[in-house]
Amino acid sequence: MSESSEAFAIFPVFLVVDVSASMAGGPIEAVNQALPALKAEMQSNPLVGEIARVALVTFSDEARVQIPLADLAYTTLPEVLVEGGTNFAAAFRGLRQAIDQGMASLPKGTPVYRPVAFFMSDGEHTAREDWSSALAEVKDERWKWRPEIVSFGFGEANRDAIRKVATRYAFMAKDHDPVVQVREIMNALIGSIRTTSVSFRDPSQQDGLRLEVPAEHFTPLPRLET
Amino acid sequence: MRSVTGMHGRYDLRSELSSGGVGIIYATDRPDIVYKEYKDAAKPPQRQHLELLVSIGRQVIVEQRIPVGAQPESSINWPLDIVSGPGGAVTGVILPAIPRPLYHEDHNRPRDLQFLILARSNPPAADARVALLLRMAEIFAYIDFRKLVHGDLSYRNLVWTLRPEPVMYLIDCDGMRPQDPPPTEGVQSIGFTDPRVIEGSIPAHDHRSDWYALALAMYRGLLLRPGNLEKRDGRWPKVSNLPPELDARIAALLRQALDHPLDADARPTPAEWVAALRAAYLPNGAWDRKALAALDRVAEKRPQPTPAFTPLPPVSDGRSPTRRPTGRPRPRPRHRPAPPLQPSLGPPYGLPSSSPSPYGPPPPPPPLYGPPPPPPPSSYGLLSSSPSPYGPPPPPPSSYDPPAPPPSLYDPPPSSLIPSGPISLPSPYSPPPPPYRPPSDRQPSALARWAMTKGSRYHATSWAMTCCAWPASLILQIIVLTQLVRTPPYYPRRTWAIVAAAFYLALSALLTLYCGLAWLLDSDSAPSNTADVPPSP
Repeated sequence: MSESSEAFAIFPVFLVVDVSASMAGGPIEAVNQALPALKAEMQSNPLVGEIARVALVTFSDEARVQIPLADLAYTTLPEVLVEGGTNFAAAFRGLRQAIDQGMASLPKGTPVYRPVAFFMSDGEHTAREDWSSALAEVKDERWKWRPEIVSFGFGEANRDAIRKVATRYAFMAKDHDPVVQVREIMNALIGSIRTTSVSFRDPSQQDGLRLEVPAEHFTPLPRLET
Repeated sequence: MRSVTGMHGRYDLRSELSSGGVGIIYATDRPDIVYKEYKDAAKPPQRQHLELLVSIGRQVIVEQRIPVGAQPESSINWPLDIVSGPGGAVTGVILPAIPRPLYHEDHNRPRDLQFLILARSNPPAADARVALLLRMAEIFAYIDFRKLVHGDLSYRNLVWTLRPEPVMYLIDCDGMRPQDPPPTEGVQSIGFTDPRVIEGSIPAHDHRSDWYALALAMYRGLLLRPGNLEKRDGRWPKVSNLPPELDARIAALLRQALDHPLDADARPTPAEWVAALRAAYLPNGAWDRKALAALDRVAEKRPQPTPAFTPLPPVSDGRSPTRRPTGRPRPRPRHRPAPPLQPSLGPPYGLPSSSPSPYGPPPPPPPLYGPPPPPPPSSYGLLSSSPSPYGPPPPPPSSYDPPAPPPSLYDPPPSSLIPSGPISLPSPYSPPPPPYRPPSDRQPSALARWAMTKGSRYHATSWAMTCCAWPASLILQIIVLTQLVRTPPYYPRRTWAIVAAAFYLALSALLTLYCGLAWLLDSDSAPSNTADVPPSP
């Protein structure tokens, strides 16, 4: 057994962030401030950095892979800018593409856990096209890299849409100020990545995904009965 | 302001410092002690165990005032007092605060074992690692001497410093208990869990679990390997491919502890580790520089963790028509592609072995269980009446500052990783990453972006212009082609757009040339024809 086979399994995380026009101002600034904090977490907690790989996908009318799946401790961070409308279908197409390409970019034979996508949005889908089929493709059980999706709604987000996006866990932010909401969501993401990474358990399993979502800031949404 | 009362005093609580799985840590009115309040009042450590620990701790810290790190027994974060609730149940303990020199100079948290044994954390050179690992073994030898179990040796529960001298400090010690009877419950830290607990042959960590975790920490810390030896595919992996440069005595202990993970009786005791480390690297009280240099070379041979990633352009192809949100502000769209990305490179592993150790050799290890020396004046003495000895942390030792970011060179990821773990990437998903080319800052111009992303619209427009207005098409395609050539090559469909633009350009040029020649020929022949025409009468 070579030493490389002693590597810990990689925990791939995909952040899917709404950058529609309503995010202008404080909310998008909060996102841009949280990214360095996430990077600092990877640097100050080397075990988390060893295990977690993070990608950032933003979406508005289109989706963009701002950070392909990478070791965030050694990645130059982008500045995320607001764009236009809200197209969930583009978000899920972008997420699927980011996952496919991100997982393919890992060195061959790397042990990996199932990916987890953290989706956050403050609005409703406004594009003409239906987003259900794009979501279904991301949740397709035949897809090898079908992610666990944890969704966060804030601002004027549609609760039912946020529930529909999630595979198991959906939350609405409680605070009134959208800036505080975004900050708390990003804190929850960082905490969840930290605790899940060092739990060394498959995040797709019942006890594998460890969410740090404090009840004072978030309302858990019940699962949709399908 | 809340206060709590223990058996040895009253403590005014200040702000909450941290919250863990078991308890919440509060600052107190005395900077050298903190209060740990248990979250679940039903499951604090047993009072009789805590009383034993407090009696040892007060003897070492309060009565003898042995400085932190000066002896094995003063390298343990002993509880110093027990706080009880109204019904007499234990609600919390008073603990020594972790001295500031044990905090990381860059991150506002204790410098824990991660920064010593994880290759990516830029750990110090072999001599410093061996010095601290020796201290760790001595601490656990003392715990074993006291017939105690710690039960949670982990990445977080040992903190260390090299200045002014190597100090290893074991924390989270309020859960320590006697070896006999063996514990029936307790916590386990992931990555250091005893295989016997995983297999269910024992209910909780015992003292031999400490020995297993100690061997794991030695394996990871000496060789800077990830050292994930958890069960996979139904089997417990063995330690193999130990480098021949590794001292034979150390290698033997590693195999003894880790190759038979369920055989607890075979695990080396901490005292055996102390003896082996001394014999291998500190013979006659002086560092064996040759052996340490060999250890540095071995650690540096480890392949760098270079998770590959590929710069990606925008993913939408523009097929989806969007309806603008009503009643929402619509700022000017500021589309820009994903920014340039840096190649992912791990830091170098350890300091070069050729450079002299910046820390100097540590003092010869004191006798394991000898009487403690008199307390020196500059101590981290706890519960003393003198002003707090904890000033601001000293300036970070430059010798183990994080290195500057690596140069923007790309090393291809190691190809030797063996598929294992929960999910392994099959070969169809794992093409070798393309050679990395640093992306340019240049963004595609509007026409180039149009040609690359608006496929059908671009082709329809180009066809129409080529057929109906070929001179204009000629000019347009020249501009498009120029912009495409100046576009960074990693944008998708750039090559196809160049081919298409070249095609339309060639077609427009041919049509323009043909029509121009026809016009010229026509205009050349026109005068002669008219000359041949006989004048009308």
